[in-house]
Amino acid sequence: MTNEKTTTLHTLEIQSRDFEIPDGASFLFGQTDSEERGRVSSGWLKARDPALFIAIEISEQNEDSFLIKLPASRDLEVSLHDVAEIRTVLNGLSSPLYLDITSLSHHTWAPLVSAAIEESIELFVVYIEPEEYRKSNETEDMFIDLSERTGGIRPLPGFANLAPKVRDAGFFVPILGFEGARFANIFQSIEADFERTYPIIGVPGFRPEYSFYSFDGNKSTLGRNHLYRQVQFAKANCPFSVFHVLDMVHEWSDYTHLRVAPIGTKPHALGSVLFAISRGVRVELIYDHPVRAKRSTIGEGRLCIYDVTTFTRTRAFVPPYECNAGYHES
Amino acid sequence: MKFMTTKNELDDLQKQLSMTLGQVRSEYMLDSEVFSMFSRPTYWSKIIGPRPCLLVGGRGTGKTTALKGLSYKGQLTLNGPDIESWAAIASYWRIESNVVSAFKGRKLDNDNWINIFSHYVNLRLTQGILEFAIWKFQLDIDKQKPVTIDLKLVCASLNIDDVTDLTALKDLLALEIAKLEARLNGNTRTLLQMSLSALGKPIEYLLIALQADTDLNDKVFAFCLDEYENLEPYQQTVINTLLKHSGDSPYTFKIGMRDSTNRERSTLAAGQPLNDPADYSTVNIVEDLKGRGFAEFAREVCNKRLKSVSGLHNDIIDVLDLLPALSEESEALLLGAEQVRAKLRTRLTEERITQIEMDAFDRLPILEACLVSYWSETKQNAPIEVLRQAIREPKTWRTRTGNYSYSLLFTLRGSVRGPRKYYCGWQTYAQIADGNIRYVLRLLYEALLKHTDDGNTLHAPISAKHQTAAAEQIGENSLRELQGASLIGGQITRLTLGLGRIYGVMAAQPYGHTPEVNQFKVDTIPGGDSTAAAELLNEATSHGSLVAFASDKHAGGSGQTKEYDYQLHPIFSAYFAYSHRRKRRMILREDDIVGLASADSRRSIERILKRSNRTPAATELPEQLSIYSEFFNNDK
Repeated sequence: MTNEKTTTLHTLEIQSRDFEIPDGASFLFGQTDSEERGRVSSGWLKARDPALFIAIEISEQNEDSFLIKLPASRDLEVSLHDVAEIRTVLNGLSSPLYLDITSLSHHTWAPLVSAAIEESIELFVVYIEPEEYRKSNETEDMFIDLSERTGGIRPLPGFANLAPKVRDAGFFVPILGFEGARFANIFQSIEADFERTYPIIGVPGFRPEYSFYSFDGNKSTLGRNHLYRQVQFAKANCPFSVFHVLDMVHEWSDYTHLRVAPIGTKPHALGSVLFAISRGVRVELIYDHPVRAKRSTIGEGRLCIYDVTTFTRTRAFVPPYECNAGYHES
Repeated sequence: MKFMTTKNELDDLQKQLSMTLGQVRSEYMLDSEVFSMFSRPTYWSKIIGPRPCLLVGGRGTGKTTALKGLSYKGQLTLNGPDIESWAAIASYWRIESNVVSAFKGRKLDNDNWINIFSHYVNLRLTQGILEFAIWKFQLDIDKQKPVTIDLKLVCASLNIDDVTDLTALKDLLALEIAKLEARLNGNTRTLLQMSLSALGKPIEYLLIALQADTDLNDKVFAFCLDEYENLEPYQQTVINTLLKHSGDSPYTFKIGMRDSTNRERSTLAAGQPLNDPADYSTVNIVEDLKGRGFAEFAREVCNKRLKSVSGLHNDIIDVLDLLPALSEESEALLLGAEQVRAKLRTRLTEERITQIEMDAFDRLPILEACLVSYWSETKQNAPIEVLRQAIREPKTWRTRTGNYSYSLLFTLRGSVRGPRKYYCGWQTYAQIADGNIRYVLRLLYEALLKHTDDGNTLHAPISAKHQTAAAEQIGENSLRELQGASLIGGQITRLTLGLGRIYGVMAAQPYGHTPEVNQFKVDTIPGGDSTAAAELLNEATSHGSLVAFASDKHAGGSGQTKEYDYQLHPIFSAYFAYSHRRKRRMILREDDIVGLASADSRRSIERILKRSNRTPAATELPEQLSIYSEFFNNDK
């Protein structure tokens, strides 16, 4: 590891030991024992001045709710479907809010991000990359064992999409990880059209070779009908990079119904969620809720901090087919 | 210049082949493309008419094409605007997981979800009717025959504002769905406060109102629902209720599903489940096609597609000519039968064969000669003794050759490089596809790609080598697709790999055993993991890895438990090099099934083969399976 700090427009990349939160901010996080990067150091938490730093743990994540430990209060169960309740909880925290999504499932953090944006809460999203992934000894497409099985395709809370729009004319963007079986499953389930499918692979990856793992893991489906020719690229740890690629593909489709499957990196999933929030009913998220395998990753890599609020105030966040009132130039 | 021209011609041809044969999924083809290549399936007469029908078939069996063909857009394209010539007046609705799975969870009980989902079904099915009705009423206007329609009851039943025309109703329905979507994305309290409609009433009222158009009097509207298996059990109950009562209503259902074994039969009325055949008929596509000439139907489909390849409009290309078969004798020669005979001749010489006996041996047809070696291994008799028996009893020997010649073919290649068995001929392709039209098209497409890559034209027959390579490739592709086909795709892939390897070894080591074993029955043992095994078998069957058929043909009907035998789908036969014909079965245990699907599959393979005194190590992996060598040979 190097003592590197990288800042791009809305992203700060640092080592996790250098992570600091400004005085008065809130830090909302989950924890898991199934990954080394999944536990926030208790020493780090204790070292912070409790008068100036509020740390709130999401102690339990369920299919429809999460359990949150509010300071000086009993545990509170919050419904993932109750937008008002989520907003109340977030508004009760001090600003800015640092939301660590490393150990949070998509179905937990996505409605939190959505509520924070709707309430104009100043939001920074934190994510720790793994140092490396555990390899599989099995068949080709099960190269990396990240998931034991999937929980089935169903909408993320707050992102259900019912209306039978002109789906057949729309495009499909699967954002790929290592698990080819997940891509194949979703592709078959939604009966996507090869010609209107534009996969995204993380390039550069968390590590340079990871991009090749993604190609290798997904080669069964990418090899069919020459789908590999339509692959697009976005930096694996950058949600804003993937946001721009999604916007580009959406434009190619003349802004018809766009289906996005965020089955790659978590930063890419964040970018997908931001895109869905921004574009509303024209974007449908397709997610398969995998059951994560224990010890699927090893160690801690870079820590990334994403300035979501500033990004939502840029022109990019406003759909090009709507009036552009009140944006800031990026 | 000539090279470039040739290369461009090849590219053009292969691109055309890709467009006509490679794009085989009607789910995403433009409707005009689907209907331009539509061929009426053999079971068509069973699915039209007012009787509700379940259309059962896996991916690629033609369900979607048939249901889309029945829909109003399909009938309009196929038969023109005169609805009297239509097979049905229908709408098509593909049930998507990402939509219907929004109607669950949140700690709401089933009763709440039933009411909410029923309302959604009302909205959705009413939209389907409206799509047709708006077209029809516009046609009436164009013909100077405008019809006035009373929509009061429809609007009242949906709790929406009264409207007087169909387009306004369509807009309001879209708004209602948007409201429902907003509430599903909002908090549960507001969702429960939503005004809902009674299941089926809006549909009924609208269909009755449409009968103001005399052309629609006595017409039954069909709802074609595709991918019924994507519904939750309680959602299937809702649809079942509508189906149960469709006999009293001006509508019917044509429902497409992957398999009929794992579905809900109950309705919302306790004690009144769906009954077959009282409430509906069932068409099992594969069984129907196979029973009534799948090969002929598939031939028609393929020839139609081939005809549309540019440059062939005046030529007749028939798949029978493109895909010639090999006789067993010819195949034996390709597989190295002459080398087997030569080796046997040397052995017979060492056993002091007489000249008369040697002359008799030399006169034997190639298969009868190779059977001497095969039978010698089987009976553990010296080849000379077996030959003497063949000479003494020529008629018996010829009969025995007929019984064993096919399984003999799998043994001829030995450890020499090359295909272990050839899979060619139109009938073989049709059998490998086993009623799945998508497989037929893929096989043909792949064979043509390999054929044209070698510089051949469509006027030349495809070689046995290319046909076999194509069959192996499609088998491999189908195996890879399994991973994504199910929530437990990885396990199903391992199960398929395990069974395929077992059958391949059994085919290569047939001596002293029943030939052509490629099916199994599962024995239940006390203490066995029947739930896990059942889930695996159900999923594997549902997603096309296995073919299930009733052990007892007379068991059936609602509520009766059927027992099943299973066959590894013939599409894998070329890839794993075993017989594609439905022949003989073996007995497996529940823990065998679970073991084969586990990460320790290799040990289960060895254990199962050991029961019949076989070992996988004695049979090299076929070349096409070498990418899985780590899976089959890895020591954990």
